[in-house]
Amino acid sequence: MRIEVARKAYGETTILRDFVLEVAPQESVALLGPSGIGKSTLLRIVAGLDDAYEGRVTGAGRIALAFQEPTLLPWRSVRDNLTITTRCTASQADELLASVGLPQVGDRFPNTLSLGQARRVSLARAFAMRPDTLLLDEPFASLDRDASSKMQALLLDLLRAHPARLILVTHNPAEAARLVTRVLRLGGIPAQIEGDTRFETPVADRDEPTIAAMAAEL
Amino acid sequence: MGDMRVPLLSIAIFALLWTLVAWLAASPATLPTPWTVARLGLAELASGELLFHLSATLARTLAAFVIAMTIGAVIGLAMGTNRAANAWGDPWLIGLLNLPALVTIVLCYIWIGLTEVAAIAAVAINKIPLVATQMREGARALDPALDDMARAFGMSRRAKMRHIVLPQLAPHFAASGRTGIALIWKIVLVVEFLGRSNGVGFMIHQYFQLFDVARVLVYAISFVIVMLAVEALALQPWERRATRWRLR
Repeated sequence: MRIEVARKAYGETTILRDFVLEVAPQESVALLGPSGIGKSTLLRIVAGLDDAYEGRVTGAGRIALAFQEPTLLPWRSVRDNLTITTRCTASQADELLASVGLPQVGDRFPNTLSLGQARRVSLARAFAMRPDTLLLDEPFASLDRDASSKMQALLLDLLRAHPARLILVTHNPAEAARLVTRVLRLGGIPAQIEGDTRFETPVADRDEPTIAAMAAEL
Repeated sequence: MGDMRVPLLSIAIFALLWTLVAWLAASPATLPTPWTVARLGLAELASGELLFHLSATLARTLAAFVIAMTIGAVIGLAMGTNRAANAWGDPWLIGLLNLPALVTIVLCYIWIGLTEVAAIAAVAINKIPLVATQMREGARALDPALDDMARAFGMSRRAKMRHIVLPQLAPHFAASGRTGIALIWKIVLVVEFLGRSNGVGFMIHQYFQLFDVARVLVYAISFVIVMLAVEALALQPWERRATRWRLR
């Protein structure tokens, strides 16, 4: 897929200029940088939620997205949240809920879940789309360490079972070092690609010291 | 069912005060006692008159209610989500909101004729701008994050309406439903008073001309009871169902 943003502005402020990014199928890319730099804007453009920009996005295929907020429908059961939104079957929904470690929540309403559980439901919903391109916007923010690392392991398992192109927005280098094969560091106004790092070590072979060393590089 | 003792006691105190005032006034023609009214009510019920007129009024109320809620919701949703629709529609809405019910009723009877259609149209036209205003507020408060989510996942218009928009509007439907039904039946009575030959409003007209206060009260109180029953048996259960997800 190819993302080209010639210009994206909010009012007078140009936040993206001449930004070009190509992502191969099943490649995983992290967009790393401080908040307000335009990472989320870029993700919204790719998701088709923002068309007020000059440029184009091609070859993304079917897209699924998990926001920082779980954005579940509070008035529908957890299972219905998956089936209604993605048109998957109830049994596919139950299977995905089991694979994010929540086999028993299908009949419950989302407001009975913790934030970590709701995020995992939101991740299951994204995979229920059978996406070619998976967009994740700070999916682990404000989770405690345990919940966060558990959910990151789940994401890697799910990607192994359902391969997809991944674009992950994060401000946390350790997350990027654990989860992706390529890290783009964004900085400046308008945002530029200040660093483009490719990691050779396969995601599955990274242990904690490797991840810490890689994160230090970023 | 919650504790009914306080409301029942409160009603009993009201009846007691009524009796006291009636006794002090000592003029049964102007203010009959509660038991006189109750006795007359039972007689009207036994003759079938009461039920006939109650059901005529109830049918008009429900017809006007359904029409006003539907049209008002469509208008409100359009105005709440579309800037141009709001700019064009707002002056009309303000005009209609300030149009006295009596004017609408008289004009409908003159233009459409002394018919059932005119009666129901007049009532609905009075209520539509109120529903539209309430629904516009609801539409403006729709969560943009949920809308983004629906777009990102390519949900159909139909699915969005059913699973995202309408559940968010449910509290506004409930609020305008509750105030709506209360307002509508009062206007229905005026409509019947002015140009129908059955219904509670018609009967009140009849007994007003005879200065029969007792029977005016019989019809008024009976219909209040019917509307309280509609609220308790239809509106409240629906609202509980629509908001059941809020319970943890």
